[in-house]
Amino acid sequence: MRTYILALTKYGIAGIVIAYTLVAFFLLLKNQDRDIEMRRALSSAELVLMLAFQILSYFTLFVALDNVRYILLCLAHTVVFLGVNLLYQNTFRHAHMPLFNNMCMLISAGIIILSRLDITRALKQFVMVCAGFVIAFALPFFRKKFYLLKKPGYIYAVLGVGALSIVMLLGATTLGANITYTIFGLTFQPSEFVKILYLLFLASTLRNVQDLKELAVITAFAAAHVLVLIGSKDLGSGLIFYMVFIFMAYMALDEWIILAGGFGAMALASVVLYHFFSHIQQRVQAFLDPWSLIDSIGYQITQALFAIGAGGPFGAGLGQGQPDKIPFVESDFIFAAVCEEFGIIIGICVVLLCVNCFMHMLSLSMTFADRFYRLLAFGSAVVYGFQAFLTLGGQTKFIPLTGVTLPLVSYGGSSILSTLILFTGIETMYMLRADKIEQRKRLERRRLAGSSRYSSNRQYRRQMPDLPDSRRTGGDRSDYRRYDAVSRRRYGD
Amino acid sequence: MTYYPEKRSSRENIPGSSRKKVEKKRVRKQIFISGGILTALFVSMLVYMVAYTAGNDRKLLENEYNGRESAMLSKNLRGKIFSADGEVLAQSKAGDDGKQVREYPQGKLFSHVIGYTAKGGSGVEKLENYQLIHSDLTLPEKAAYDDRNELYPGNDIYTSLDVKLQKACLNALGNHNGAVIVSEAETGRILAMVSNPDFDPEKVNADWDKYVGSIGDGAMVNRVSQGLYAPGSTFKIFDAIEFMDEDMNKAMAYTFDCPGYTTIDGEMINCYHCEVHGKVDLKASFAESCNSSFATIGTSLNRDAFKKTLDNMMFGEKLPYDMESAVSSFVLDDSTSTKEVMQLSIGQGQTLMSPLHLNMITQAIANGGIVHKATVVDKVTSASGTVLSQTKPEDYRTVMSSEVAQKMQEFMREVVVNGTATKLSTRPYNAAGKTGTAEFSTNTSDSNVWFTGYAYDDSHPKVAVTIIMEKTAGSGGAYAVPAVRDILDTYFGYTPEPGEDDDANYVHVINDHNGDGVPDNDGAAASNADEGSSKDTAALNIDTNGDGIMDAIDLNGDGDPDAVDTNGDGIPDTNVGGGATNTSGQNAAAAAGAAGTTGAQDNGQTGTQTQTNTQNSAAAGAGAQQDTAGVQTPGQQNTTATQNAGQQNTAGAQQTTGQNAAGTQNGTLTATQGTAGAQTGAEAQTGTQTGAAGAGTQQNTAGAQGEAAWSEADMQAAEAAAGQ
Repeated sequence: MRTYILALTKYGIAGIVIAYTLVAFFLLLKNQDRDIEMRRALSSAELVLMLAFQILSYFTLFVALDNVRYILLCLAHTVVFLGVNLLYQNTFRHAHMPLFNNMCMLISAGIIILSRLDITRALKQFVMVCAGFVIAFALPFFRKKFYLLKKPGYIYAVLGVGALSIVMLLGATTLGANITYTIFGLTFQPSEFVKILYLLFLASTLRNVQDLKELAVITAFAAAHVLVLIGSKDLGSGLIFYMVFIFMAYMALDEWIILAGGFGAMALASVVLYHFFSHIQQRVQAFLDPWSLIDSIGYQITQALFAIGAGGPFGAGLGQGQPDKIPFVESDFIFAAVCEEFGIIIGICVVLLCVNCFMHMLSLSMTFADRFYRLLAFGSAVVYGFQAFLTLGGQTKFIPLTGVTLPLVSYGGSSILSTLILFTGIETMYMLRADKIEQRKRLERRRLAGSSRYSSNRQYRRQMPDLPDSRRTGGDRSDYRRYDAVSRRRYGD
Repeated sequence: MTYYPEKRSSRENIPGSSRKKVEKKRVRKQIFISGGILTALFVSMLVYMVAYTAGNDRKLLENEYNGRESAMLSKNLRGKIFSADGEVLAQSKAGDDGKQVREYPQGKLFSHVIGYTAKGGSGVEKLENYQLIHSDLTLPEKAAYDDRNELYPGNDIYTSLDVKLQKACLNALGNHNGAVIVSEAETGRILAMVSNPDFDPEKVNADWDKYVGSIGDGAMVNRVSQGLYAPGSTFKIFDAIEFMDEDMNKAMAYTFDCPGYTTIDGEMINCYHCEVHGKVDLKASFAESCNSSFATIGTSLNRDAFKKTLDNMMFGEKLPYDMESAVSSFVLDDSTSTKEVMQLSIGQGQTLMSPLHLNMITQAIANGGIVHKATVVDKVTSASGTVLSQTKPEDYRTVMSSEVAQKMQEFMREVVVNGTATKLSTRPYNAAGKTGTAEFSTNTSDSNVWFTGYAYDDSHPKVAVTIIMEKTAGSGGAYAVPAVRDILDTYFGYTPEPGEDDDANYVHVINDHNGDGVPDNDGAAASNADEGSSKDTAALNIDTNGDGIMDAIDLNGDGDPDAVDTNGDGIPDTNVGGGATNTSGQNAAAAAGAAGTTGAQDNGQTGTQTQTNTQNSAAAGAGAQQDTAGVQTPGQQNTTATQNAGQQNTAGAQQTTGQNAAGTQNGTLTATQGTAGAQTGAEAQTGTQTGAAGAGTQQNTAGAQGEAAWSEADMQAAEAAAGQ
């Protein structure tokens, strides 16, 4: 009996995840579709599929490992995620559900595989996710004040470099990299939060960049970040920060030479750094031929490869593989564990979901008229996408290991929080835009409905009291005016 | 303040209304490029991941650092290995302590080819380890095992091996070390593979130190695939192929006048027992295994072409065989001396081949020129019988044209009909092949004898058999051919009539003097009374010349003397220790037989029979075996039947001739034996004997004869004799 259950759930879970991935990509394609009803229906389908995935997975774990805690965790997990989802879409009229659903799906997969590896960690992760959800909820409420973020500029950079330097000097060393800092018993990774400061810095300074001189100054500050990170031996983050700068600079200035030169400089720098850091040399050797070094530096990656290869298409089944043989499996090699127990097919789906999130973020950034938001969204997309690529590529021996983790899936409180902030930031910007579009449409309707009283802005403003209160919030008025003034000056009427 | 990109586009004076559009377009382009780069990276990574794991999944699982295999072992019961007709060759039983015990119902019979699981494993156990520890049962089947709380049985392997045939091969080797392989000529399937000495696969762990330590014995080495030996006269196959390949017309018109020896560039070489073969063409040279003829052919071949041919025939490379195999080798380049080329032509010198290699070449001859991949595994099934994979015959390479193959088939057939392997000609099935004797030391009982050939009839697929028996005291025709005959009898299901075979000196079971398959019940001679066979006691000793002294033995009980036994001890005269008694009366036999006959054959096939008894010894110039006392005229097999066994009598005087032995490799051990042919008694070695090189020719003669073995007179006598 048990045999049948375990076999069925394996195929069932695979089916659900494949279905979810297909829906996610369909939604991506129909991003701009006018049929809102269809999109709403598909998003609901995503929710249902995600819940089914959770329930079936926890059930499998319960049957395979015979532990009641899985049922309890299942209840908590399902209830919380269902609640958050419903609450989210009903509180914010213009919430972007596809992105939110993907985020929840990846987090769920992470918690499930972590619960298989180490229930305590899974619980900790769950708690951090709940805290993250609180923040995710709070952020959109402040969207009317988001424009304030455009101002600080270089101050962000100073703060960021400062924080990173403190870590470099005082932080604890994890395997040769100074990346964590412990306050009051809680270990957190400042570089994750500095990532956000860095994005804000680049978006706010690059949005109005006028000439190459200004670019040079910005580059210097960005370089400072990268150098401090390299100094802390956190080479993975350093690489991410560098890449983000290159892409954002390209987006801001529209010179392809930035991309070409950026990649070229990176290649050059890699060679130089290779000679200086034995750390890097080891990583490269382990990448090129881990088999001959299997009992030393090649150990991690070979164990990960064994795991990835051991699952086959449908995996060994939750609770039925040996992912615990992989070192650092909860953080650095979570994907290998997913491939072993869930199977290569689901592994591919996870990768595709990361790509899907990345593409959603890109497409959203494309729609933002405001340069700051656009750059910010674009930068977030690159940060997320590139980090996912680094960690996935390292685990599959496509590129050397870089020590970064898979956002949302890997164990790590700071990572979860900062990624949630990133995702919600984009959601918030989307809501802002949606709000404005709706505003304009309403105005348009009123204008067309006749009545010369509304033919000009000034007149409309005097008529403000006519608007239903629920549609009016404090910042709305000033935003609208600013937007209008700017657009008229820049683009004419 | 103008935004940088707008500075550029503003130069182009874009009207304000479409600036928005321009910007939108620009942004779209940028995002597509950036997105495209990263997406491309992701996609390549996915492709790499799938390709890597799919392509390496077995290698990954078999890596010893991967703990999953041992986990799988504890979940599944290792699968069974079967023979072709379904007999269990290996199976596992789950012990109470959770460990599995591997059992081998056939005992030592398949110890090399099936192998064992301890210490990393060997043979089929190692080759198909992945399948044996995996269980591909269907879900309901697995559920049934779960309910009974039993381990899932792993997948089963069906081999192409045949138990009866394997037993026949082992019996054929008898007490000799050596190797036998029987395979299907059209498909490459191996039907039997025996290597002696063997070991007990159930005791590998317990006896590990003993086996590993027995360097001289090499019990765990699979001599078939990993043994390297001097091919001896079987190498003439390659000489002939190259000769025909270079110029078929010239080869067909070739003739040679063999006086029992030949000299090329000052180097002399003898035929086995200095037998005078007379005028021979290529076919007859092959059939008679004439060293002189082939030395002449060999030195006339184009070296580069020959080297290329041999390379194409898989010398110097790994054979198409999934398990470990040795690499055959030879030395031939511009700097090789004539002497060495002569040695090469008769398969001595630095030439080494494995029995598996020779067998594959034989298959190619039998099937028209194509070497197939040698396979032992026929199919893999799940424990409940569902076929998971079926091995199909795989062509590997064409090593000779079908025309050459056709000719070689004719030659090999001639070897059996008229040549050195006539012991196979009496059977209803058609056999063909080539014998070989590689002498490797001065001790007369140190030859490695070969036979490689094929056989077929209307109702059985063609089989190729290759056998090498180490350290026999005779020639391929005397030892290896009868062994092969027994093996082929088993394959074709033929039972010989009692007494049908007249192998005077072939004892395929030690001390079975009347050759009826029943061992003599004592090793020593006096009684030769086999259990229950009246024939044995009856016609045992005969007194041929009526002087009251038993001087002959009638081995097959038909009343005619078959072997001379001058001291009446019941043992056919052989050398060792026969003492003086063996010497006297020797020539009586010679008198009995007319030119060239030995007393050995009394079934009237004098001429030819003796032929079979003379094996072309691999040793170059096996010199004359003389039997002392008395006149030895070359070209005659004087003496006794023992001649065939290559045993020479006489005490004292007899010398063996230079044996040069090529170093024989026993597995990984190079047993280089054989140094220079020793000369006892008098002297003269003309020619040199050197260990591995063995050129050897020598005659030593006893006493009176001085120097060069062959005096003018002798040679003329030889010619005269040959002329008959």
